[in-house]
Amino acid sequence: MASKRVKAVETDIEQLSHEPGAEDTIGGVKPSKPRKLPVPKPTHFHIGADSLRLKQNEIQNRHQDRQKTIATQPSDITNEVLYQMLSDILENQLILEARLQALTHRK
Amino acid sequence: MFSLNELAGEVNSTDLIPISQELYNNMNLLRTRYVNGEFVGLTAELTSDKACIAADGSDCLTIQVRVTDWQGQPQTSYNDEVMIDVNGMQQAIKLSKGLATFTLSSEEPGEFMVRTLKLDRNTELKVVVSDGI
Repeated sequence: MASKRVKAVETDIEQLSHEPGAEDTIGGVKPSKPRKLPVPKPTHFHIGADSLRLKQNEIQNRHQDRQKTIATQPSDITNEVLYQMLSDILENQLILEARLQALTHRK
Repeated sequence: MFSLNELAGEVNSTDLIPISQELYNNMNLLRTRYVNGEFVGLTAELTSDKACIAADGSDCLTIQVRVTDWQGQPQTSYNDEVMIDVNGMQQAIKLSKGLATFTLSSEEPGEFMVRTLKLDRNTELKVVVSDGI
């Protein structure tokens, strides 16, 4: 019984010693060459897109689309279109206020 | 602070360090320290491989930091960290032999300042991010 267990452990050790990268940890075999350290990646700074600017661009695009629609099909001016226009105006107002606040805090 | 003596005679004081006319005209003397009979002070040079990058988030600008003394001599024995500030983001960068490089990308067009922090005399570099219009 005991010899079976020893055999099982021995086969486990043998299998592990054949795995890549295992030679310096199992079996006591020293690597022939010193292990190469990974080249450190240079520090990277990323300046993300300004979310307020993106939102403002979206509003501008929506407004341009609406203007095209109104120019071609004036009958399409519904309450829904008016509601969207009003929402965009208010949203734009909020963005401007946020920008003003940021400028005030910077000074 | 350094100033030019316009008095007729020499002013002797333990609080004053006499300097030559050449040193007086050297603006780099500002923000130096006087240690063991000489002026010392670290500064850095920031150089980039491009003048402008695109605001697509993938165009990269590589910036090299070189630490020098106040006279512009490279400090090849400097292996410490230097704090870098990019648009409010601050990170310590480990230098090796007085040199280090880092990269920068942006999705936001505009002009941004890259600055060194906590050196005796800090330096800055303007980075232009173009939206391609």
